[in-house]
Amino acid sequence: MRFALLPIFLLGLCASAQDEAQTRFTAYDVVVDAGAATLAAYQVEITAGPESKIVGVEGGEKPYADAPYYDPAALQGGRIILAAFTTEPGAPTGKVRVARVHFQETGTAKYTARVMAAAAAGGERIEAQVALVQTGGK
Amino acid sequence: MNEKHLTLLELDAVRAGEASLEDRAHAETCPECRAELDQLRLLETRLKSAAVRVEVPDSIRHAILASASRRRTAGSWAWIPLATAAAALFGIVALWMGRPADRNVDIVDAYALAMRVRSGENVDAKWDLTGDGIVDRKDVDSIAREAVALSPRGNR
Repeated sequence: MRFALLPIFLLGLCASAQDEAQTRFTAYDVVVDAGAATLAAYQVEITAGPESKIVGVEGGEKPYADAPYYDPAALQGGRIILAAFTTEPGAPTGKVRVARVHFQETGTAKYTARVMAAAAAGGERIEAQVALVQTGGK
Repeated sequence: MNEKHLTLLELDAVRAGEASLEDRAHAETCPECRAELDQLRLLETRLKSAAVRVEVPDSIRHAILASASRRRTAGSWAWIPLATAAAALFGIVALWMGRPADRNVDIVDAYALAMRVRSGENVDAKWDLTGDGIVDRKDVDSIAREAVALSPRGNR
């Protein structure tokens, strides 16, 4: 009876180590491509699968260096809407890294992103594309 | 010249045509009071056009009428608490009703408003979401937060 609980204890240790190995943090850059148009405003939706949780948001490159608007309720969840605009002259064109999103993954994570709205300088609505580019993790 | 401005209740009395001659004259000549009065009239118009009907339970209606009846005999200022409560309710409903585009907004709306605020253009009072009497960057932020909200009230 003295060692009866030992196997259970060892099993618990193994399971704990396995969980730690499967949980990792990663970050994705959110890149919006406005083509030839200027990107003065954007709004994108990012959805993660059940194996991933959103744990942080930060800005991208100028003029979107500040963290975008987002609902804090999105943290620890799997869906987020990011949005930002710039009223400064010289809005960028082409591919713009507008934000970075950090995730906690517990398996093979899948992500989708779509542009909900975008506008060129002056307010004209434009078509734009969005891509998530993994930047690293641990 | 216009050192003493009218209170909200006095302005509301002017709006309702129940104010004294002195108050009415002041509201016509004082730019600040005139602006407040215009806001009240705008709210009145919005509420009328909104056609909102709120059913009040009989018990509450009777209690209010009984209270008003007792207070009417108590003194000429007894209506003030009731009027204050009504004004507060009026304001809350007006703010709620005044939200532009029924929450169907996105970041482009915020951007467009930000550009107009920045350029100093005259902006429609319906964008005064914060209800502070001016349309400014706070209202832009309010629209942007609404655009990214995950709640069912969002624009998805």
